[in-house]
Amino acid sequence: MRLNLKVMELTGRLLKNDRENAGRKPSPVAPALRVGAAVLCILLCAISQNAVYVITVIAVELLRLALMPPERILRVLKALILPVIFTALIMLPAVFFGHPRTMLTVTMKVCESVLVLAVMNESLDWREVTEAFSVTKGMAVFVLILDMTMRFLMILGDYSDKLLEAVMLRSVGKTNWKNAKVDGILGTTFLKSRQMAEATSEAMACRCFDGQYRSYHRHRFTWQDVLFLGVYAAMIALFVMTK
Amino acid sequence: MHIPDNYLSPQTCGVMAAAMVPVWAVSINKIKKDMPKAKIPMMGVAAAFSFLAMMFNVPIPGGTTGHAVGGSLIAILLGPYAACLSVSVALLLQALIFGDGGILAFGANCFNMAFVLPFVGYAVYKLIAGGHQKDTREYVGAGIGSYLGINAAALCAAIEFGIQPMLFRDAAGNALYCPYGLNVSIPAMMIGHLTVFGLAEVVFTVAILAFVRKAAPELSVSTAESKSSNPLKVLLAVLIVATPVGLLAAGTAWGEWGADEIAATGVGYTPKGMVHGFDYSALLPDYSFSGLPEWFGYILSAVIGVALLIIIFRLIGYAAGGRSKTSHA
Repeated sequence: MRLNLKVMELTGRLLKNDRENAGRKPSPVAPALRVGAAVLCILLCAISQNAVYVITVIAVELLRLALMPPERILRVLKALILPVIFTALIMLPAVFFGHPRTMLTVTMKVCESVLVLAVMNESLDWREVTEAFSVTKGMAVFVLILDMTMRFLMILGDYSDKLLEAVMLRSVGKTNWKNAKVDGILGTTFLKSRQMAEATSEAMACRCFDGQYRSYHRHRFTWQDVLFLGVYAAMIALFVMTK
Repeated sequence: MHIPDNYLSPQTCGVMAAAMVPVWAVSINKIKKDMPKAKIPMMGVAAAFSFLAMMFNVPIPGGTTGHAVGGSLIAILLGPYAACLSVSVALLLQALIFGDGGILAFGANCFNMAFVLPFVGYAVYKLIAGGHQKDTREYVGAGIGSYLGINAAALCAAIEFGIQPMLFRDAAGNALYCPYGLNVSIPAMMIGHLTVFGLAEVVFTVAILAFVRKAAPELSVSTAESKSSNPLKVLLAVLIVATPVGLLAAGTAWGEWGADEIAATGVGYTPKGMVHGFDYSALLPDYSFSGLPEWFGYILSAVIGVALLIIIFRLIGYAAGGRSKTSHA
C-alpha cells in the first residue's frame, strides 16, 4: 500500500506539472542547450579549485529561484535540504582537523549541483527534458528505462499488493506482514515481471517501436539560441578567470 | 549605523534584544491580522530595497562613512510593523552572511534601525501627510519623516555607544567595550546623520516613493496588485549593479572599526572586551571575496542578499495562506 502511495504521489506530481505547464509557451531557447548549460555548470563547479565560481553560480541560481512562484521555490528547497545537510555532516570532521574551508567548499559544491538541477527541473517541462535527451541518440535508452520503470512500478506494485491481500485473507488467525510469506510474493511478482517484459518486447516489435523517442516538436535554431550560447562563453570565461 | 560585536557589553546586548522581543511579537501579530497574504512577498522586495540602501556608503569629511536605511520608506508603503520585520530580516542576513553588524549586537541594531527608525519616520509622515498620496504633501511628509527617523535611530545608537565607558570599566579604569563616552559618540554620530546621511535617507525615500507611486503601485499595501511588475524588477537590477558606487567612499563608519583599528582612532588602547570578545567569521565578510575585484564581490553580495530576502518572504507568504485580509489604513 505504501509503495502504491509513493508511486501515485510521483505520477500525481507529473500530472500536476502537466496542468501547471498547460498554458505555458515553450521555451524560446532549445531545451538541449539549457540542459547542456546545466551540465556544463555542474562540471565546471566540480573541477573549480576555489569557492568563488561556486558562490557566483549559487548567487545566479538563487536569483532565478527568487523569480519563481513560492510552490516551486519550496519544491527546490525540499530537494536541496537533505543533500546539503548530509554533506555538511559527512564533511564535519574536516572542521576538527583544522580545515573548515574544505567542509564549506564541498558543501557549497553539492548545494550548487542540486540547486542547478532542481531549478532546471522546475523551469523545464519534463517533455522538454525528454526532447533535450533525444538530441543525443545514446541517451534514449535512459528515457526508455525511466518510462518502463514508472509503468511497471505501478503495475507490479498493484499486483504484489493484491497477492499480499490474498495471502492474508487465506491465513488463519492474526497475521502481520512479517509472517505473510513475503518471499513467495516477491518470487511470484518476479516471475510475473518476466512474463510482462516478454509481452512488452513482443508488443514493441509488433508496433515497430525500437526504443527511440522522437520529438515531433522540432526546435528551430533562432537568435535566442545564439544569444544563449553567450551563457556558455560566460561560464567558461568566469571559470578561467577565477581559476 | 551597524554596531559590530564587542562594542556593546553582553548585558547591553541582552537588554536591547529583550526590548525587541515584544516589538517583534506585536509586529508579527499585526502582520498576521492586517496584512493581505498576497502582499507578504512585497515585504521581501521592500527588505531588498533596504538591504541595497545599506550597501551604498556615503562619505563625509573626516574619513567616516554612513548609509541610508530605507526603514521609513517601507513603513510608508507597507506599514511600520511590516517595516520592522523587513528591516530585521535584512539586518539578520547582513550579520550572518556578510558580517555587517554584530551577532550579539543584533538586538541593538534592530532596536535602532528596525524599530525606532521606521516608527518615528512613519509617525512624522502620518502627521504631515495625513491621508494624502501622490502629491507634494506626501513627499514632504516622507522626506521629513525619513530624516527625523534616521536621526532618532542614530541618537539611540550614539547613546548605546556612549554609556559603555560609564558602566563597564576594568580595574585600570579603561573601558571594556566602546571607549568613547556620550560627549564624543553623540556629536560623532549626529553630525554625519544630521547632514549627509540624513540627506541620503531623504533622497532615497522620496525618490523610491515617487517611483513606486507612479510605476510600481504593487509595492504599496493600499493597492490590490501583488505581482512584481517589470519597472520594479528593473529598479532592483539597476540598484544591484550600482552597489559598487558605495565602494568609492573609503574609510570606516564611526563605531564600526575592527579591533585592530580602534587603538589608532585616538583612544590609545584596545578595550579588553574587544580583544577577548565574541568572534564570528562571516561567509562573505565586508561583501567581498578574496582574490577578486571588490566591485564584483559587492554585486554578488547584493544579488545573494536580494534573492534570499525575496525567497524568505515569498515562502512566509505562502505558508501564511488564508489569513484575514483587512486593508491598511
